[in-house]
Amino acid sequence: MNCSEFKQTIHSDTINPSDRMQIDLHMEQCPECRQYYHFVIDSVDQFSSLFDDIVPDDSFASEIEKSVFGKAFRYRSIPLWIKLTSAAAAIAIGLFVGKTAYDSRQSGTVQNEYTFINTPADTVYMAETTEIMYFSLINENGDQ
Amino acid sequence: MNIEALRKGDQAAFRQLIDMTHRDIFRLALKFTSNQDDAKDIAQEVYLEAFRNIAGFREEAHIKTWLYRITVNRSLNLIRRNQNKHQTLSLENEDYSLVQLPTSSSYQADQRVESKELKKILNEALSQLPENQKTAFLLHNHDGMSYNEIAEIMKLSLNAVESLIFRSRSNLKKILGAFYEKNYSKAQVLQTPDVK
Repeated sequence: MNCSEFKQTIHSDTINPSDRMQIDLHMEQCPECRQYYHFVIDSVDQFSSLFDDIVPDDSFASEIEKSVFGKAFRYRSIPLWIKLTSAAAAIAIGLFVGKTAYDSRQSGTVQNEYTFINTPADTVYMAETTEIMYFSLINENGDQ
Repeated sequence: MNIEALRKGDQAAFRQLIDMTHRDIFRLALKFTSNQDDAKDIAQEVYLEAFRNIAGFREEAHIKTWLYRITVNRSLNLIRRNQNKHQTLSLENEDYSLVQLPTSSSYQADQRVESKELKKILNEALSQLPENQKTAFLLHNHDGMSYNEIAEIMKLSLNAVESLIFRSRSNLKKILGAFYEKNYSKAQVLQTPDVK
């Protein structure tokens, strides 16, 4: 195995046992390929331990606690049941106010246009008057 | 871990959760961001979000997996924000010729891993991977996480996770190989090659 074949083989998706032997043999003889292998393959394999030497300060946990409990209570989230109850109350108040406004508008309109009609008797009187006027008009036109 | 107490907003239970998990959360955020200050900020945000939303935690996953999911989302958001702010350095443009690789005769795996420059090179290589490959790779290399947990965190199928991890490793090797060829090939070999 030469250097070019070595590099091609270690980048292939699967390395069979005989290729593995060839790779190891070549690395024993070729320092550059050995270094290449360590750089390319071992770096990837050992990535998991790359940050093991970095640990947060001992005080970090208490810093988090201060930050979480401080902020959490400043902007404490409202429980779901309070949100639902508030929404239901808002809808009920809205409906009540809307209905009241509608009713008052309706009654106001009726009073403005037909203030002289207060009872069913008034309605009958209105109908009779209209009928009399109608027949009078017909008779007058017939006379001419 | 007393999930019921956590759901009720019990501070002692939440303190216990922080004590048990904050190092792993910090380290995962650090792997994503490569910056300790950012990792600390993310860890604080993770616990704040967890504390506010713990009532909605369904116990379908382990609580640590749930925290990891928040960490991944927060980390990716930060990376996206930073990418918009300033261009990340690229291996193509950066001059790494001064990075000292260990010589072939004195090579020890530990020396390489501890090298700050190599850590930087690996992070730069990682930044060239697509976001989902990078996420799968980092989770796979964190806290002995199983494929199932990764699938849970990334909301993907097991097959998709396996494929992402395989492709991420393959792509990383290609990126590092190209980088090595460009910067170190021959020039770094201090001893006369004795190739047969």
